[in-house]
Amino acid sequence: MADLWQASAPETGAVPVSALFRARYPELVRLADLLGADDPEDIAQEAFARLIQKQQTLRDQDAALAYVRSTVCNLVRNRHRHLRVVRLRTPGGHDEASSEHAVMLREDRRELLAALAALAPRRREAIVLRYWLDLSEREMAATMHVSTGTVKSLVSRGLDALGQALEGKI
Amino acid sequence: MNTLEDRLREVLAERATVSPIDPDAWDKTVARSRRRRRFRWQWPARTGLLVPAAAAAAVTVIAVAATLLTGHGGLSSAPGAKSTRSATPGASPSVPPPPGRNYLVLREIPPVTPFVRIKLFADGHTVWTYLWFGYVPGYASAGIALCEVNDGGAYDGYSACTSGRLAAGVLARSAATDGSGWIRLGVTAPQVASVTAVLPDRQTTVQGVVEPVRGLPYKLWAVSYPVGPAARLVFRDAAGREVTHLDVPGEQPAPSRPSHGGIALFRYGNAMMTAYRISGDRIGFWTGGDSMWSDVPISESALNAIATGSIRSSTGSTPDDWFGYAPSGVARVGLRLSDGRQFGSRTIPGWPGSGVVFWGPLTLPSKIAMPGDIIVITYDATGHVLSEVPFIFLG
Repeated sequence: MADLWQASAPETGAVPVSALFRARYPELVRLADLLGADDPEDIAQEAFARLIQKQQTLRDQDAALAYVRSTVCNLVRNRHRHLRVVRLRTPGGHDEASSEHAVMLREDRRELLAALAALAPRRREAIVLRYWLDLSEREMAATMHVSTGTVKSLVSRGLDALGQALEGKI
Repeated sequence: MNTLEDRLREVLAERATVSPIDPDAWDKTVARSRRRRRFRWQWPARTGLLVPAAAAAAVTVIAVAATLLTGHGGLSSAPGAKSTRSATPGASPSVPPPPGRNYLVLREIPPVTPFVRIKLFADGHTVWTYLWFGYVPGYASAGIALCEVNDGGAYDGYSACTSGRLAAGVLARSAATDGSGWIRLGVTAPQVASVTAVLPDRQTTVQGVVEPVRGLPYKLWAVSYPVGPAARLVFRDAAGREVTHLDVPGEQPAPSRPSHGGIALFRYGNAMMTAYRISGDRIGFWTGGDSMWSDVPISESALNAIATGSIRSSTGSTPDDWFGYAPSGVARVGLRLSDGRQFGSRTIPGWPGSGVVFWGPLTLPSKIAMPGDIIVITYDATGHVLSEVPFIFLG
């Protein structure tokens, strides 16, 4: 792993991308994974490649992190679209297919993950950003490019939908 | 904090620990970024302006300004707002440049028309949408595709293609969205001069944009309104007379799994992928606790191909499993990749009288370029080809 962090980087802009990459790449891979990406690393690498292109226009590290998080969310939606999920919503059921995961997760957790995966994409994003990344409403709004009111609504509706889906199951 | 929130935190934290990390990730990211810079200077290859890298910058600016930015409308999603036009297309630094060939979709569906640039507002953010028409290489007979790339807002970088055809006798059709549900767009007849979305209260209207497309006998339209409600899109001519309208359904709740009548298709993970007819004469698929469903009736889309893209092996590779449905009378369905490889599946009967049969699953290589490269081929019982449809046209 050492080479990963020592590789030369195009550091010409205001934001040192390699430092951000070192600190945040695994987190962004996991974010893409939790949002249902079929190739989370590809998504995260693409997001950082776009960040390298845009680094001159970003004012600071926080803005860069918000940008790259937002890009991960967009790219996952984009990939779903390519996978014919515009009209056919797929829950990203890889948890079910993996025998490793199957033995790790208790049935109730599997039910919760399945219910999460069945949420509409924006609600799923809101839930993951809130309960996995622990972002504030303001940070979520910046990441999702929506108002804080929309964030509250998405989280609330997402929780309601999860509650309904899990009724009697957990 | 309630129990559900506690469980969510625990489950997400546990689930997030299993994502593999490639030790060469940074090198790959830097290489990807450098490839992008090189591609930027090759635009626009399609128009014959194959630009040497040394002269690229100046020529690119000229090409973009002179040949690509012919359309430039604007609209506001604020109720009742009027559309506005950019007075100086391409001149403002806030206006993003047209998409380059770093976008895979531009390489898959090269433009045969100039870009049409539209400025929209969605959920409080400005979105620049670039639209163009093109053909799936080698399948021009399948019809023209309408493609889009977004810049800005929640869907920054979003790209997609759908069929861009306006069938004879049809005056308007919705061809695509930006993926967020806010923006809808499509094609319409040449006599149409305006489009207005009328929201359910019949008081709120949102003005859209209608733009001509050089080289095509119809126009593009786009409108943005809050996601969720149903809307009537009214198309009018220059005199204000209604030419036609489209009723766009609002967001619908997830369907419940029917208690009976399912057709078991194949084993998926630890459960069976099972198809059901659901309300609206649509088709839904359930496996274990997961579900997916079509938003359109069978009659509107009797041929469909679906990639799960979600089965993960213990090695971390992600093969795409494909399945779908086809019109009754189809005995076999094939998926042809751009490199000529073809994968086929026999069909199994659907419900009597439903007009559909099912096919799959087909496991395609995990690293196919993109589904835009895939052609869905149907065969009858004697092996004759019934249709060859680019995947992007389905749905």
